[in-house]
Amino acid sequence: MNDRDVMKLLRAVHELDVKEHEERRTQERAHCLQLPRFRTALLRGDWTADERQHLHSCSYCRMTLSKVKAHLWHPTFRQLWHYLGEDLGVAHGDLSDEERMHVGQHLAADQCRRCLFIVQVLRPLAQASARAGVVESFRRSLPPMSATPVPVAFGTAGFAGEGNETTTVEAEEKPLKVRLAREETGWVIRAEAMDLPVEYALARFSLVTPEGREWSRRYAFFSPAFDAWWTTATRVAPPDMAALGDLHLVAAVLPVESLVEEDLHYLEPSLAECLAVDAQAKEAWQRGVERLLQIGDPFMRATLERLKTELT
Amino acid sequence: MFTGIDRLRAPEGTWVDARQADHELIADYYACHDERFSELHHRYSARLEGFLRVSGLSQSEAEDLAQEVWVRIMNTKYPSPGSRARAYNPQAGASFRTWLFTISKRLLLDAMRRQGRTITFSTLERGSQEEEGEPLEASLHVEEPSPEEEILTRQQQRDVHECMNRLPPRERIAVALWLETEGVMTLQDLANMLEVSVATAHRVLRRAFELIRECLEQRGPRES
Repeated sequence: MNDRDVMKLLRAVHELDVKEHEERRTQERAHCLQLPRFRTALLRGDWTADERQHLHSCSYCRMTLSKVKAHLWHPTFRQLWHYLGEDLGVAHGDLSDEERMHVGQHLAADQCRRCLFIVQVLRPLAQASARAGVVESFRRSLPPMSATPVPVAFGTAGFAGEGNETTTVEAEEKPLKVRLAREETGWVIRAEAMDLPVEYALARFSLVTPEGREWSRRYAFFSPAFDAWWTTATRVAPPDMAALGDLHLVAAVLPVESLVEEDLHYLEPSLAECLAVDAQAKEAWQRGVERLLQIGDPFMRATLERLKTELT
Repeated sequence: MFTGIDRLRAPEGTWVDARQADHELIADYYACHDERFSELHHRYSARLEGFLRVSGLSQSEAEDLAQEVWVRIMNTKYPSPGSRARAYNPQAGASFRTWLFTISKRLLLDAMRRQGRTITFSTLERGSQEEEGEPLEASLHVEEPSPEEEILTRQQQRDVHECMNRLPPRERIAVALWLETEGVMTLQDLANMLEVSVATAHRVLRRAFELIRECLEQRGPRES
């Protein structure tokens, strides 16, 4: 037997191995999802019922899902903020050409629901900041934010609407860390932030549907915890709600001055949910409402006075 | 599988030429035809897993790492700022297949390193053209096995697997790469994939074939 004989034998065995493996794989994976579909569906949240059903029963596709999820790229809040700034004509040169191209593609071509919603939250703040007209202050005005990179259900290998669901999911982009967990009293968001400026003491927590709609919005005032740490908590869903499935969690720490008339509708229900899960909530809200009464527009006064009464 | 079939239905319901070259498929994928990526995936999925298995991974490790490779290749269409991933560029000279298996080999070595199994081809570098034993031909091409040769017994298949499994990891990876490129590459191609000199690539492969031959001869002739 010479080298050539060995090589020929190896090749023959290898071709047989590949053929057998291909046949087996073709049968086993006939109904598996195509790889690019995972990426599109994770960004757009448009999973079909059949795809969900298949994912639930196929460990190979669940492994693929977790890999695609791990490599999924989202722009940072800073990149989205400066992209908006360029769009509004107040910021230039904060993004490289490469960053601008990727952010634009992510929003326009990929239609990432998560980032489109973040832009929706940031836009009024960016517009207000732009109105002030000072480029340097625009650059500094980006509020601390955190958001889950994938929907809540994908925080682990679980899948929306199925058993053994994700019960805890975390998101962190310094200085804000947010944790959504199923507790005895319901689905509770707990947030902590470091070195918050006083005027940024109001958190807005949104749960966003795959279509980009806000399913739930809660406001919560931060309380000083220890050293430079601030904390807050609120309940977003009752305990009998089995899973938060396809929803994204987006959290932003906003300046209290940013509240507008529309936000007032959310304040009263938010207060009740904060008091239910956070022992520090009453004091924090009293401080916050007092500050809003000092700086808020007159149209807010009636609602704020009612909240103040509730708190006393 | 599309042996003998010129055209097949792609997942999206469009018709694609089964003989479309790899570099055309990936170029189409980059130009927004996701179904072309699925075609490449279908074409090489079993081969890639086979390469990883032959290189010493278990079945589940091979599946896992193969998916990692595919996800990375898929994402070369969507590079993020600062990402090192680069799209396939045929102008760079390597075929898509060589590019695919070079990426796979790198991830394989990374995975082995994480398991505490360090494999370094460059330790064989001696800075000279010193050869051991008879030189292999510059081209590692071997002709397709004849129909008679293709009739292998299960015993022969098992013997070859057994002898491959006995190879040291470095030699095993070199043979696995050679096998997955269907024997059409040159020593220079193999050296590029292993990221070593031609002399070292030659030495590794030569030793591997010798070890396999010795192993097969020890096991004795088999009836086919």
